[in-house]
Amino acid sequence: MKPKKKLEGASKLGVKIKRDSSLNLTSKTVLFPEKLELANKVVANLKWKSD
Amino acid sequence: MNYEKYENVSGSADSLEFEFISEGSNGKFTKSVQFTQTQNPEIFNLGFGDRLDNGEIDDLIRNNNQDRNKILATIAAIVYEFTSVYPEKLVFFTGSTPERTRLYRMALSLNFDELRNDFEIFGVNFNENQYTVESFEKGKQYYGFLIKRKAS
Repeated sequence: MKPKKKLEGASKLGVKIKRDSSLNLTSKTVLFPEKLELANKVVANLKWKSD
Repeated sequence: MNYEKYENVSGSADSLEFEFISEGSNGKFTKSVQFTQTQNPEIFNLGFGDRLDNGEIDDLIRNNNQDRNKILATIAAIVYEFTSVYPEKLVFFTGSTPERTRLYRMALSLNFDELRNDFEIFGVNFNENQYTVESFEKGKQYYGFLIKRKAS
């Protein structure tokens, strides 16, 4: 089987991401709870329209 | 996407949280972008807002820093990063206000021809007590958006 080609990240648009360990602590906590609540409302009631 | 972008982007090791500094006519502001798994594990929510000096997040603030396009282009680069690590996941996003949702729609429409090479793009609307997803059409109003990275 052919290995999957790695997709290009931010570098595709010329941006290099610097890894910052201080963000590792907060990445597990929800920073936008209201937006997440809204997103959950949407995904719970999502219907895909066929073309 | 030949727009100027911020190059000082930091990211967590798991590529779920990112930060960059907006610099403009009104000063410097720390911008946070976070991808959070929704109750559907295949769909992540994209949250975006300012990290205030007291550590709190504000996604309604308006800085009027005259760098809107630069910020949007930087967020687009961050979405490329997230979807390169989690290519199977869908990303849902909508504006914190109708004006911001309109801005996102305009940004998607303006860059649609380029973005559709790399992403499947969908529009989400609310009709008859249900959120319906359809292929994104330029210029059409939507409640929110879903995107998924194309495999190659």
